[in-house]
Amino acid sequence: MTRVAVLGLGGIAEEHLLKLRRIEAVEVVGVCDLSETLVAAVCERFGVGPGFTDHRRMLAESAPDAVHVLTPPRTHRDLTLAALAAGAHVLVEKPAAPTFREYAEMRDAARDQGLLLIENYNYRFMPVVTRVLDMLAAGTLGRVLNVDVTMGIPLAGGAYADPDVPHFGHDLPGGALHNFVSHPASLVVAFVGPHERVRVARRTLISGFPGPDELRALITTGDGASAVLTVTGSAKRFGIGLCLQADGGTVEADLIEGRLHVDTGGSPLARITGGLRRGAGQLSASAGVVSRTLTSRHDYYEGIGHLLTAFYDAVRHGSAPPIPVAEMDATNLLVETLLDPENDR
Amino acid sequence: MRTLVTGATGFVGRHVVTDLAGRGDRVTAMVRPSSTLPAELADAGAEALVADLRRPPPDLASRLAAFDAVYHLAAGGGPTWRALFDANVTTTENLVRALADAGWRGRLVHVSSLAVYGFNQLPRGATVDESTPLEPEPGRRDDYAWTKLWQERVVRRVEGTGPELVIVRPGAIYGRERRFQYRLGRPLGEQRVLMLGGGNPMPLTHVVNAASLVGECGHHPRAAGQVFNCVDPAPVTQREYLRRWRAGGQGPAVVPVPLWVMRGAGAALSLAGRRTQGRWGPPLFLDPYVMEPTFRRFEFDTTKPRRVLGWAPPLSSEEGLRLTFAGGQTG
Repeated sequence: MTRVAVLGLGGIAEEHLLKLRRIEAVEVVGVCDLSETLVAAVCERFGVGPGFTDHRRMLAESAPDAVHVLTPPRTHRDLTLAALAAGAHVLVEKPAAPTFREYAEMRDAARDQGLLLIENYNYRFMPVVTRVLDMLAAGTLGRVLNVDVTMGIPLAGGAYADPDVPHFGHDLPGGALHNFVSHPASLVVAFVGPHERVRVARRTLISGFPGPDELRALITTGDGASAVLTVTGSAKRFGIGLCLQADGGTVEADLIEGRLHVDTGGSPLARITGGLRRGAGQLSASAGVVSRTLTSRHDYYEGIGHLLTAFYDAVRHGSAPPIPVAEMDATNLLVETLLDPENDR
Repeated sequence: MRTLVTGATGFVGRHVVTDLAGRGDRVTAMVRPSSTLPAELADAGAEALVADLRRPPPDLASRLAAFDAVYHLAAGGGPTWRALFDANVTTTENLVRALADAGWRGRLVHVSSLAVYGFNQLPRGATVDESTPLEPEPGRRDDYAWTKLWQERVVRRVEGTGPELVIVRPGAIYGRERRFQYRLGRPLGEQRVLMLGGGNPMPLTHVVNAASLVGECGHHPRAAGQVFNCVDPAPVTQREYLRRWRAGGQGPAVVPVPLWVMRGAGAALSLAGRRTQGRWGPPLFLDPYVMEPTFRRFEFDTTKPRRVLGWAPPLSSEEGLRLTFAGGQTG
């Protein structure tokens, strides 16, 4: 059994605890937060424990093999270093740290101790994304020319707009968007690699929102590919979509609805057959949403389950980590660049 | 009597402030920093104490010392389990801690919910009263019931430490400002209701009646240490409630669904969930353990407030329905 501890019981902790239930041979041996009542309530609800209000005690007494660091980002560095020092692999929520420098410190500590540090890029592990990455790896689509990744979040009126208890996201160097941009950035890096140049436009569309709530960026890479990355807080409902053009075909995907359309045909008939396949794909995806909703399987966070499965395979069997260190480096560097006001144009 | 009302600007809180002012109390309404004291509360003579119990000001304990009674109604919704936990439980934990820090010995009236009872363990048609056992498995219920159960556990920490605790558990509180009730069924957009069952009596209480009982619990000597359910005496079925709403104009269109259809779907999906080690399962609204407390038929004993306090609701069920649905529309 792999012993797992969960540090930080915010909203996302539920997804981690639910996914951990379905991963073979792992056992939650401790959960920790500052509130004793919250810890007790979570232990009861998810059938886990024991609970702690001091992470040092949890690391010492529970002796976990892996720790999920799910606290606000400003605490990630210290808690991750403490977990690594206690000999535990770390899975850390995004953003790994408020700055690239702190992320690099965490990464180097993991490397020096021969432990894994993985940042949770869960949307990169959604099934449609995995299928597209597999097609690219197999050469089916050829070389990627460009990719557009769009993430829409309804920020108006929610926790991010609460003036009485401001969300911790506002406290990040890049403001509230900093708490989301790792997701589309991780997808851009997965498809086109590290950036070379970035041009960014940020603005505030939601009246009274403290800081920018929309970011659009044009990203170019050293080998001639490009990406457009958009995060907007003005969406009516949550969604992530991508459009990818390669020299062997095009891809359109809706990560949340699970819709994927791949067009590799160049013949005159391709436009007709492509249209028919697109319609059929839309119908099939819609039916899938209905059926998954009715069977409680429609899950925005499905990617966490796939990422954790790969993470624990790597922990137990020494297989390749789910995200290469170079990819996390490139993503964290891109995030820092996107949010640097110097790059606003 | 100096009284503090948390959640004073909410649907029930406003009526409680008015009720207490009518009893001659000097009322202070807790309002969040981003809010202002509503004109109707200022007109009733209430003053404001600016605080958000999710993150209380450092001097909260010293400011609480001045009050003879605290009415705790602060509660809220939220898009996630954690937001709901903070709105219902963290607020209560912070209040209870501040009262302890102040060495406070007044009367604390906590407004809970009927949702805390263990309905799944009761047979169809059972009578629910204040002695009905509480939910034994809070984690299996919906987030609202789970947080209300934890809220009661936290508020009971004051027992034996000085303050007098009274717990009021209202049923579905309705009024002109809140006509939709989750016990009617499932909303389909804003203009349709998927009505489940239809013939079950709803544990309704008009907001004026709820506020009156809450106020009485802060004043009556025999209320100390007691729990009171708050349900209007005359039962009103879902079908009758919707009929009255529609007769008043602009009530939602009703899509009746036999409860057995929903139960069948929920049971089948629960079985699938067990067979697939949880990979399949019912969505929350079809989960039998979540659905049954709301839609199984129960009777509600409404006699304890009259028996112990001699209190009777100011409005009959008929008057409550008339005030709620007669004439124009709000909310």
